[in-house]
Amino acid sequence: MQGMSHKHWAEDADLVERYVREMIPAEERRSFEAHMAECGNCRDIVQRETELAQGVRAFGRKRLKEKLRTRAELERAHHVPWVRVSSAAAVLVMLVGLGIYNRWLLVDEKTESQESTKTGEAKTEQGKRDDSQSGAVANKKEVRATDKDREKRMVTDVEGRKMAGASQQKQPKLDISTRADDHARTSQRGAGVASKPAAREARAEELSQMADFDAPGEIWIEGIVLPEVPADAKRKEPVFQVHAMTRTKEEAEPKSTTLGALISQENIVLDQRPSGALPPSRQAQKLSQRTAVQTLVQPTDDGMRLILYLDTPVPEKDFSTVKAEKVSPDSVVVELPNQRIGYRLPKDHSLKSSKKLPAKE
Amino acid sequence: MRSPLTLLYSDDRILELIRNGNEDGLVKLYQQNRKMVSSYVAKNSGTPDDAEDMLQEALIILWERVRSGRYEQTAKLSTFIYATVKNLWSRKLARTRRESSGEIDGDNYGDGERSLLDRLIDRERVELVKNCMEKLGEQCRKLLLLYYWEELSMEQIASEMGFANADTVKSKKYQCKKQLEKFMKGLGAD
Repeated sequence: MQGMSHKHWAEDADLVERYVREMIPAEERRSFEAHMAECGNCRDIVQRETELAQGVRAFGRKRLKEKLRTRAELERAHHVPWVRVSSAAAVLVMLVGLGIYNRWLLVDEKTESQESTKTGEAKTEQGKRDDSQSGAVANKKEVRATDKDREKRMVTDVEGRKMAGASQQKQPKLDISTRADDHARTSQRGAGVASKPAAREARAEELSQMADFDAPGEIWIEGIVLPEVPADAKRKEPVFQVHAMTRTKEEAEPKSTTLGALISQENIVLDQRPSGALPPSRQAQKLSQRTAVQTLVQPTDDGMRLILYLDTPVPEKDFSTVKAEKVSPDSVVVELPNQRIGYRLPKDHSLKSSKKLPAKE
Repeated sequence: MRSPLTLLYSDDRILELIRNGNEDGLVKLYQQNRKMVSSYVAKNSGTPDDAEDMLQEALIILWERVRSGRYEQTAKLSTFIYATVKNLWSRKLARTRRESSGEIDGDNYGDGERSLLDRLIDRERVELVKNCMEKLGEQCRKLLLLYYWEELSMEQIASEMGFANADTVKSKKYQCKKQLEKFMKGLGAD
């Protein structure tokens, strides 16, 4: 080996590199190291090459570390904490669910239970009354029952109707006494609760279109849309004051009356309902006589109330201007903003006014 | 908890990425093993920073082995990383104990042939190379890294860097080395 005197081995850059990278066979390696032991210059060359390789490796490691750290921090910064996100989402869903339950379902349940309680109470009351008046005439009972139902319907507010309408499989709920009042209440409620969705109002409107009950003994008349007459040709007879009534004690006393008598009293209260809310039996009538305005007559303490079932209800603000005009002993003309409706009342049709509705205040 | 994205990266996929020189594989491994390493180092008197260092060292060792073709997959990558971290941390603890007890570290001082001064000079020169690497152009830097650090063959470098053949790489490497030495001389190396 010594004889070989490999003084040029270290000048072979490729060999030195392979030695430093540990890529030469073991035999050649041992031979090379033996030569280096005697060759200081060769050791220096190999040492430089080793340092260069170490420096490059150190640089590579340092750079990779930096890259790794930067990337990891970046990933961590953009890391989505799925556990927290899913927990928050679950809580949100629960809250929304709870809100829906409280807002809709719980109210429905409460309303239903209240209504069932009211119905039960009404039935009990009715039963007691029936018992106490067991000798009363059958048709009188019928009228009273009808009036009772009507009163009950009037007591129930729009909210009750909405809630009842939520489960349409059940019986349609009670009538509403005055549409104008209902509209006012609905709009007040809408204004009071700013967060109430518009859909809720739309739903209320939809529910208000629900059919009313058929009640035995009710008096229905049909109004005829009259042709428009020129303003100057209109009669100048005094008109009934709508929604303005004064009740005396005597008038409030129960008494039997006829439609003719009612009309002779000068208090006619007007009310309106959408034609979609007609009771089923009147719906059929409405279909057969499309142009006629189905109207329910109810006696009040000092006159009567006409509930007009209109295809296009008059806006609330305009309804207060609607007037009823007595044009003959048995005829009334109701002047709506867009049309005039004439009624002829059967003279001999009697009404028992013992359970008259309260006059509209 | 592992993110769904992380779960998509299997060991094979990560190794494939590393073999192709894509660092995304290491980042995924970093994410997957960070908690495990932190837990181990913390239980063995280490700090979160120590854990970060150990994990990075382990990942670099894996990178070097995979890139140079010296990695043999006999276990899961997480097992390799855990074993490497354990080994690195044990050595570091042992070194710290020796230093604190005043013992001379045979790994770092005097190997019997080279003096302490020689060793210090060697370290300085290594640092010098490291600094001069920053000054090199990207192509030279990459070529030298592939050759000395990742220990690729001339043919592999030619393929990866788009050179015509191994001879071209050899020629280019020579130029790069000369340039590096020039920078080193400029910074005070003899």
